[in-house]
Amino acid sequence: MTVRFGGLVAVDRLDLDVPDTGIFALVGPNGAGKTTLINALSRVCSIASGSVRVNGTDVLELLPHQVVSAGVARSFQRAELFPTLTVLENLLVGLHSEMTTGLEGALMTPSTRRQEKAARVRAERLLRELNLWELRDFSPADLPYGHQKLLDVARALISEPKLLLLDEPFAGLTEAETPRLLACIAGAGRRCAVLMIEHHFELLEGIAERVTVMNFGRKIAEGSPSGVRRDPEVLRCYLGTGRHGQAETAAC
Amino acid sequence: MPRYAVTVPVVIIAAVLPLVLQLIGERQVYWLFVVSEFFVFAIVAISLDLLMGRTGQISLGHSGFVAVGAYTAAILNARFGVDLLGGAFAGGSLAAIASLFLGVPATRLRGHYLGIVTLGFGIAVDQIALKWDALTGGDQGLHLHRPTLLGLDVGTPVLMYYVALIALIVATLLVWSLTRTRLGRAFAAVKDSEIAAAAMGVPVASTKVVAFVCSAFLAGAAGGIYAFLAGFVAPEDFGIDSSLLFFAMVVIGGMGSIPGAIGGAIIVDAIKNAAATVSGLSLAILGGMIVLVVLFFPGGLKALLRRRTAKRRPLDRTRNATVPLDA
Repeated sequence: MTVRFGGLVAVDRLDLDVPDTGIFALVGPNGAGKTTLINALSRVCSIASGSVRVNGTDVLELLPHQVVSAGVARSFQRAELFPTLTVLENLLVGLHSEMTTGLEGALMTPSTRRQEKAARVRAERLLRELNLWELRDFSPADLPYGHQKLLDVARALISEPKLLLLDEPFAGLTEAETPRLLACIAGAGRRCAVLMIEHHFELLEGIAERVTVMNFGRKIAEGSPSGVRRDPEVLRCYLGTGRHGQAETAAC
Repeated sequence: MPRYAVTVPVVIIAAVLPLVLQLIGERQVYWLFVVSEFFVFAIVAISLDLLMGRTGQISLGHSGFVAVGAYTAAILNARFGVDLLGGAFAGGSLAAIASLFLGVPATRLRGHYLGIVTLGFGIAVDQIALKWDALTGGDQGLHLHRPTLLGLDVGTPVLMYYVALIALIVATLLVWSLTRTRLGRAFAAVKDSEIAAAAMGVPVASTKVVAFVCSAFLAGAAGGIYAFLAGFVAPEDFGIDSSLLFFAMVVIGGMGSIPGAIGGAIIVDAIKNAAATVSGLSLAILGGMIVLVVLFFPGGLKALLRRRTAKRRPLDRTRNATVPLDA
């Protein structure tokens, strides 16, 4: 696929194929086109050429709000939550496309009640799994950042997508907050394909099956986390000569 | 129901108020009308709050929808003898249709286009009512028959008081239920983050239109009830200043809360009635209040009400708090 903004080619003839389950990571320096790729996959921005298929459905023929029904859900770099709603209600919005209640919700019809109850049961189960149960009636704006990121991932996860797109899920998290989100993502990777942008090679080594390194919109390397780390092109463009994968400073 | 401890006493007080006024005896009819009128205005405030507070879309001409509803009810009643329920429903429906014509083009554009379009609509409607005398009676206005409801005569101030009170309760319950189900959550999602709402499967533009149409329907239905309550409709009841009153109710109420909207309606309506003797005074006071609320107290009444509910108190407001994760 190719994504252009005016004359700028943000993603250049990139090919990516992910199996049904597992965790796949995208890394690369700032401006490499990672977020653009995720935005294109979730139809936030349109692509210039190419195609995206999830189980045979062409995602690019869908409108942004139809993507989730096709099995593609996403989280956001800065946890785009809904502060007007409670933590529990944020998860319920994640089930929006599975539910059908419209204006008749104002009348609390029996089918509305049934649907609401079933959705609540699912949301509550997920909240308990993630240890967010105690916080269900808070506004997400009142939660620590780590909990917000966790909730953002949970909101994408609750629709049980086939492809889960995560944009830097660990960015801004403290070390204490990381393990719970890591466990949550690892769990998701056993049920669906997770494509995530992540800079911390240390985190990836435990869980990611494959890492794709991007630079200037192109794929420059692909392989296991430890293999990619030794790739000379990756070292030159991205990792620099330092030891840390998280250094984003070494631009080409 | 939200907080029985508050709502039940408030409803009981409202229900026995006519008896109290009867005992006091003085100017009973006037006070019954003032409070009934407040109930109808509170419905409009709730409808506008559903749009502004819940969905984040601005309407600066909401009295235009009230006018459409009021004139629809008045015309249907004067010409065809339609009763209060039919008038309110028809008024709401016609206002909803009008909102559809305004909302479909306006909400597809980002920003405050809906605010501008509704402002124009609000300015236009009372002028149309004034000039189109064949239909609306022009500046002479239109008189309605004695109100009936499902064959019953509700033409006394006390009965109309209860009609207005029940209408407010019904409107409150409808909006409250809506906000607790899928569509109402979608409204809030669209207000908070359009991009995340779309990613969750919420069609952003059409959700805004639906919120706008719901809001206009309620405002139009309130207009229909108002026509029967006043027994008379004239263009000056629905000018742009009354749109500003509704706007003030929602802003002072704190946006996004039904009790807030009702509280805002109490404050604004009280100021309007208290300052009615000096022309323009109530708008001056309310304009000042809007400025003060926005600058110094953006949460409005809602924030005052909410401060007392411990449930919503944040654990930790700092962004990078090192709270142990399993705490």
